[in-house]
Amino acid sequence: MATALENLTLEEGKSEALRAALACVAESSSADGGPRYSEKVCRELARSIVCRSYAKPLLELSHLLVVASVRGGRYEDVFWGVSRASAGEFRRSFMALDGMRDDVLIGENAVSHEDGDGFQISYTRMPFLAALLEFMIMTVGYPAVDDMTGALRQPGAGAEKALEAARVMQRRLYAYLKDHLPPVQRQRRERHFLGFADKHAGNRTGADAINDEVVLEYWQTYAASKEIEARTFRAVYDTARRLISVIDAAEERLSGTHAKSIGTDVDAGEVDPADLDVVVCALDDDEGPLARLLETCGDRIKFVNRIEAETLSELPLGEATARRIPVSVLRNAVFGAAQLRMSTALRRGDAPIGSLPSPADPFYRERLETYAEVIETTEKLALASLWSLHQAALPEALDLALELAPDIDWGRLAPMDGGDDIGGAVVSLAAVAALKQFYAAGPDAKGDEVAALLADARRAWRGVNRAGFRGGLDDADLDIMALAVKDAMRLIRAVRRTLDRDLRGIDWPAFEAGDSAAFAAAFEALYERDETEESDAG
Amino acid sequence: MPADDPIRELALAALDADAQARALLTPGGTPARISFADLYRYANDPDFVLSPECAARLAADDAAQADLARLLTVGAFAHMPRQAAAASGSVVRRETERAVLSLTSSRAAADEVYLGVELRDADARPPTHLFAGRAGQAWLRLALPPFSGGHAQVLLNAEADIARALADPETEVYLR
Repeated sequence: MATALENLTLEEGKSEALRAALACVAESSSADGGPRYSEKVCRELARSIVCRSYAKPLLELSHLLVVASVRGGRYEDVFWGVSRASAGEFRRSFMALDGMRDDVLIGENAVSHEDGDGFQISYTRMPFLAALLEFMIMTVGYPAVDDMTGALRQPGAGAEKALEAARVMQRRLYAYLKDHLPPVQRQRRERHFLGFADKHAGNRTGADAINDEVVLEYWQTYAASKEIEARTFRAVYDTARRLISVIDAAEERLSGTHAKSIGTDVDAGEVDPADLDVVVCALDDDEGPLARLLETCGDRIKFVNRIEAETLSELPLGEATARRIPVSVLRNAVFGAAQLRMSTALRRGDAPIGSLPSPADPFYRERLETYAEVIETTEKLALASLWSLHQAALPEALDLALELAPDIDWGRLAPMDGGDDIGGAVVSLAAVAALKQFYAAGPDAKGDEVAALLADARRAWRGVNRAGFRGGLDDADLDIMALAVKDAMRLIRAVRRTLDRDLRGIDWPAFEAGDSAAFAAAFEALYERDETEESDAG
Repeated sequence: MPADDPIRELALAALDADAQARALLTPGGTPARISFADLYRYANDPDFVLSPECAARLAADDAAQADLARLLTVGAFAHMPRQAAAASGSVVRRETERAVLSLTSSRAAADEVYLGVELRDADARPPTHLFAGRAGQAWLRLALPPFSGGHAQVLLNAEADIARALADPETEVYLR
């Protein structure tokens, strides 16, 4: 017995070392004390470790190291000379290397090297690759990493050396994880739910087996059960939502024609690491652009404030969930939230049954209106940000203007006399001239369409009073705003799509009448039973 | 959906992997380690000071010490290896092709020594700090004052760890 316990402790110690290495990367701080790597990057890193899908990223990293080592064969300053691992900082860092060697290409959006086998590493990819490099250092050590990548730092290192170095690093990481990655725990709740859904699926297959009836029935069946943890509607809804995401993603992935990794025995139940990575990634995608927007903005640019974020987080903004279980989305928003309040009250010793919506109330429809109002505010803020980005003459201003006002006759901004015809360059000269004209335009409500749009943007800017939308912004704020406005626009599109495509065409009055009584009865049974059991036990 | 359906297997494996990834990112009970980003700053930025917490983590972490030792070799202005085995007593002078380090007792105070750094090339971009360390012991860092005409001098307490380390033939030194 003692041996078994010792072994268990040893195993835990090994996985704790891996956890400590990941924590070290996740908690690594920038010069201003903020996180060096974003949460998204850390999640991506953990995913690639757990899924063992690091082969391609290590190859990308090897190619990146070739480029990063042009200055004296050293790469450290490029990676750790930047404070925050962001696309913008890496862009500035690599731009400083521009022109140092002819065989290395430093572009506006990506870097590459002449013998790079077509590999281009974008600045947006670099934060993840930097985190992977730091993780390698934390696990196998900097001297080992430095030795394994030595050949990449020699002038003229090409695709062959990159592949060799990537393979060596891959073997080393594989060996480390063999010793340190704990065995996977099978998620019982999801398997139980899927078994229930299958039994009630009839002719439906795949994620189609999961619908609103199944979600509600499962909760009603197992909420009070000791067999499985399904007490709250929200937990059941989250389980269903996660299953829909992964089943849809798995179906799409397996029906695709992408290349399979060699050595995966599908018949023996093994899954391809690249497939696994893509499907796990779908879980993050289901959180949609809201999480990305909040992460990008932090407390500096409030496209969405805390209350608005809580409201919008009720909507699944991925492709499938709201389409498959639209009623459950609002059941969770209304009754899932009510149940949480009840649980909290119960824990405090208060009466558990609070006020629930009455069948006569248009509570689902009101919730839909709330989402629409919140996203209208976000759109107004996007318009306001156009003013700020335009004033700073950032290229994102034009992208945003095109998106906010696609019907404007933008062609008039591209002058036909904008430059000499020097081969193919005439188009880009016209584009540059158009850009200049756009940035030179001023706001005028009675002017042409562009001037009127800018007048609207200025009015919106003046009408807002929240962080990031008042006073002069510094370069760091503008960087964040330029990055975040893309996510803000994605969020607006995703919410509108979810509302218009998935949630508006439903007979909500009928559900309001039925659900109010059904949930009231279920809560009463659930919490009265608790009180009875407590008094019996007492 | 049959239990051995590949879509089902992949989907459930993804949920298991996601749970594992989240668990790995949840703080555990293991003592935190010093990050490589902090080590890099410590090695390269004389204005960056390790917090006491980070310094303790570095001192207790052999792997981090090895990482730092390798980092110090990268881009160093000069490396002064430990003295030959025959050397004994205390070291008062270390020389390389790029710099000379000397320890001189202060005439004014017996418990103080002057550390002098002389660059062979007075026009070279001068180092800003030095690291001194013995095998198996933590590295010590000392910020250097501005150089004038290729010379810099620091007054040290003779009993200070850094002064004792610089006088020890087993110590190797990096000027950075």
